[in-house]
Amino acid sequence: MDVRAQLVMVFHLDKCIGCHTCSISCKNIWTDRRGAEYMWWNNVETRPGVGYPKKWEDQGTFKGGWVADRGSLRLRALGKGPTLLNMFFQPNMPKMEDYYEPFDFDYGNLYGAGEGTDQPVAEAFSRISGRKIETIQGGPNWDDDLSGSQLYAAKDVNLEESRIVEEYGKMFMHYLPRICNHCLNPACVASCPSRAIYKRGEDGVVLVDQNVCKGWRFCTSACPYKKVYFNWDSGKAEKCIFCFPRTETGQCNACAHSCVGRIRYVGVLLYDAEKVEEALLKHDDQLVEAHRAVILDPRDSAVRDGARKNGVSDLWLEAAVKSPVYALVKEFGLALPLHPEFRTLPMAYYIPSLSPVLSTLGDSHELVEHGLFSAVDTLRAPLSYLASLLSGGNREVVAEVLAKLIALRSFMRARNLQQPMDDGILKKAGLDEAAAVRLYRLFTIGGYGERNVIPAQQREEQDPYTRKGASGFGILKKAGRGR
Amino acid sequence: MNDPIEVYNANGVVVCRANVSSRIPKGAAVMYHAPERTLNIKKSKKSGRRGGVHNSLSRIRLKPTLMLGGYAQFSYYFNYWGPTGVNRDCYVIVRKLGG
Repeated sequence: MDVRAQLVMVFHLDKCIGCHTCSISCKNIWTDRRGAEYMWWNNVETRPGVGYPKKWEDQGTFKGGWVADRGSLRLRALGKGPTLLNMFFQPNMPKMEDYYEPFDFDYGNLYGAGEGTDQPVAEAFSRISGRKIETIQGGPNWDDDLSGSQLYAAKDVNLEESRIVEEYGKMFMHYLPRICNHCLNPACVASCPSRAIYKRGEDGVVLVDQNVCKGWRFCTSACPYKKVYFNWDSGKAEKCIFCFPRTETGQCNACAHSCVGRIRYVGVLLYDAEKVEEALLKHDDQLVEAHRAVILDPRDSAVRDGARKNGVSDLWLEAAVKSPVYALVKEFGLALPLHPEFRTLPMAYYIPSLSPVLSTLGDSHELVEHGLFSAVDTLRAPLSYLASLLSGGNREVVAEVLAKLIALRSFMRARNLQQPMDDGILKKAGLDEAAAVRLYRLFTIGGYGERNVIPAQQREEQDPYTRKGASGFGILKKAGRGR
Repeated sequence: MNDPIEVYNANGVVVCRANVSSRIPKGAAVMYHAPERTLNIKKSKKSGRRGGVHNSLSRIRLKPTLMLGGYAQFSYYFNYWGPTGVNRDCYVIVRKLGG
């Protein structure tokens, strides 16, 4: 057992209202500079939709992530041959039209325009070339609230039947906030020829060393989530840094801190680095289970001893026990990884959305009569869609999670209305009353300190460099010529 | 997507940008209460001017009962005081604002 600690974020999709406050706070702090205008380290997508950059999930086009091939993992687009050929040209990298041309408006004209018959207008211009833009053609969430659009929603790669977006009244939608997943098996790290990207030992945050980066852009192509961006001004790669200057001092990430819907949970997970490779070689529909198997119980004494041996402090172990992330991902099995089939073992988890609300099946008696899983089938969002997004196509895993959420909702409804409660519903979904009460608290009234349990780095007690190499990438082999 | 359009009827004209969505029933168009008037909006071909806002297309139709007078809740006053006098649903023609 090789126990390592990782800071992880969980997103509750039912609570996301798509306000983009997270994106704006991130932008204001980190990417409001020249060359970074188009970078959205945190973005919110409207689903079904193409996302940002457009159709990033389509690895047939972008060729990101890993492939399990004859018992070993390899990067989808890279090997010795393609690496050499693509040294100066990245054919699979998203282009500006896949992102968008960053724009601003000529506000000066509003008060500087000459005398005229009409009020002046601020016209749009490109923040790259400075040329005037007649009609803005794209933005970071261009399909915003229009998920019924045939132009965007129908092109969502997770939709089996794109016709659904044309049917008024049958359409469904939810938001999908995304940050860098700080994967356990990051494709960006593995693809970098300069070894500029590294996974930090102490908290698993994946960072680009700006002094070492040579701007080869392999990371941008290799990341299946397209969360490494190329700064056209500095010629270096940049990405979400999990707000490490904030988390190191025990503060919450800017996106999570500013979240209006309080959909985000941040905490520590302990995982077994030795199990990572084995987990990633599993078949697509077993990947969620494999993800959960990699995560270790922080109360287990053997795990705690292993963690201490690797330099994880008591403060971090205590945080791992209190971690809301551990509860949601492993203990109650509610949060699922985003596209586990990309095989990077992403460390951002999502609780699928249950909306639209089941009005008729909300009654617990009806649920007992019809069964929890038939209730799941009546949800407007197709199970296959959520399964494609969050479980590598495994519908049962998603159905289990949705059944838990329905059971929880029905239980709380009965409780609040002082109706007789049927324990059977919770039991069928794999929960009990204590779990329901705890989950209800986490989802609704849980305060900042309950949603975010972030231990400080304790730099004053331990020099981080002494722990360098004690933890880090899971399966990356030791560096060396020919290896 | 985001094409500039001109919406008009006998009452007035408004220039805005349009999106096509299956969230709106066929044959209908929706304009939100806060139309963009300052950023990247063109002049109207119909009037040669900037055009109006979402209110330009509808007009206030008062019922005789609203003119009876008396206490405020019985009488019409601009800005929704009293019973509503305006019906915002109206027929419009939507045209792409070419060139």
